[in-house]
Amino acid sequence: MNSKQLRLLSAKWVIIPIGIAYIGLAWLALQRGNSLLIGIVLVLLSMIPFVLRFERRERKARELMLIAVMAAVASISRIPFAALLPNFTPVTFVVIISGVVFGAEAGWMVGAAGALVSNMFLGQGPWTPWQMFAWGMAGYTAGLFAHRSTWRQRRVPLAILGVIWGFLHGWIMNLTLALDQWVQTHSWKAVAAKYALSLPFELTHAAANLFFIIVFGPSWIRLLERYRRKYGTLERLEYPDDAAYKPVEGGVSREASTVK
Amino acid sequence: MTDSFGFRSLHPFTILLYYAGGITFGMLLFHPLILLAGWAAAVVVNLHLDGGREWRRWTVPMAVGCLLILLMNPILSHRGRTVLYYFGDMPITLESVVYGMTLALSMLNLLTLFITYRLVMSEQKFLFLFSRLSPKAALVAMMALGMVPRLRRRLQELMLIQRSRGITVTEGSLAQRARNGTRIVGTLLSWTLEDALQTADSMQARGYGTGRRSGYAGFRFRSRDMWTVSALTACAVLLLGVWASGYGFMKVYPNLGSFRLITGDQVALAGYITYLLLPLGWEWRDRKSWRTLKYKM
Repeated sequence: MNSKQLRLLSAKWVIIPIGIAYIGLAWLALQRGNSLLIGIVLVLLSMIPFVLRFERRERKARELMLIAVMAAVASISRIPFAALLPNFTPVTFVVIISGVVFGAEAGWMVGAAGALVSNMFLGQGPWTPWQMFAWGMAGYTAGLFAHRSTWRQRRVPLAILGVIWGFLHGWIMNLTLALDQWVQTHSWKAVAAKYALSLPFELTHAAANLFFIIVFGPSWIRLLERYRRKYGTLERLEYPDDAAYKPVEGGVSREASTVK
Repeated sequence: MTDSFGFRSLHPFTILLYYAGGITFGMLLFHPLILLAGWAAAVVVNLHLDGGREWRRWTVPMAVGCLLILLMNPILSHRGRTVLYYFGDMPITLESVVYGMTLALSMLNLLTLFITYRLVMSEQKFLFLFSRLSPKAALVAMMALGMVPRLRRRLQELMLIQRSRGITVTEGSLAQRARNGTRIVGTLLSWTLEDALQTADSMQARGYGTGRRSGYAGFRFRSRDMWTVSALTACAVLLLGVWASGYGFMKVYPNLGSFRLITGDQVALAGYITYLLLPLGWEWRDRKSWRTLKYKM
């Protein structure tokens, strides 16, 4: 192991002591009635397993490129709508469709990268990690829900998932203030009132998801499925060691095994 | 202003440390006066970086957000001993009002700090840091970032061309518009996917994934970074010590503590202000040396 590799390794491992120290600090703050830190620490730490998993597997350039395209489409679709009507965004739709077609892991990456990149244009803030988490999880659950099942890729099941995520996304974004409310008053009524106040935003988001999935859903799935088949990337059946990429044979044989 | 001047010329790691600490202490030091001072310091940083242009652009959304927190807290939380007013039969307590105010100030402080973050931590610096930890995810983020302006240009081009065929999203019934929108976005998607996969193949052909990814790091850890990191760490250790021994935050519930800053709180305030203003030392130093250079010419 040369010094460069050592440096790379230490850059990764240094996260563990920092994470432990931050959890301790946030816990102490929570004891003193201040819940601001614990939420953001936990949400940041929750991303580590996903990122590690994404790093561990051998990735072909085509897979990375597909994920990047979907993240870019998610980001760009957010920008015009951000000024139009708050929370009426197609991002969740794009992320869910990516999860459905390309699988849970890719869906998580599209959601997280989409949130990160769109905030590079709209403005980073304390909300970025929460959005990365919420959209990442939307993509992840969509992948788990419908990636391997054809009937769940139809309009109605996906629309239900979209509506659920319309609410969940807002609820995740509210967690900071809701947690703060709980630490302040220890009353579920106050927390429920906090959530009730933001209900219109969640309803808008759910309506947006419903609209986009009903109108664009099947056609986008068809389009993306076609690209996935055509280029043989992110196939449904897992091939753990197809790091060596074979342009023609690989594509054909994989095609055949998918049909089985 | 360019990346080679003042605060912005610091190494990404130094900048990350500054913001991690600034945000952490902005959350821990839960005292209205300390947070107000921190906000003022963050505004000063903003004024130094771009004359406060970006900060002014965000004032309205920030003010609305803080006002909402300020108003909502007394309505939602009825904890506290001192009742100021009965709204119907709902008690509005002094403690809850003060807590809401402190929370709003904390948010204001963080958001103001984040505006400077956007100015100082350019995307390139962020991705440089990120690529050390997670090269593949950073590559995806970087490719997506580069694609956004391209996609925007393409979308405009597509809309222009399709309009000449009568396919537009601005005319017709809602269903018609939605269908046309689908077609345009679908075309954009397949266009982009087609050519993204060519890019991917060209990456493959040039040997992507055959070895460890190397990268060009255009950032050097200079002596000014060394000084800044040491000073920031010293400030952070001091602040942590003060905070751990029970100063620098205010007791709100069940009954309101005093606003007065005792010695420990004063140390926390001074430490936080120093922490936030530290990198401006380089801003001043570089301005001075520019003036001297100009004078000599």
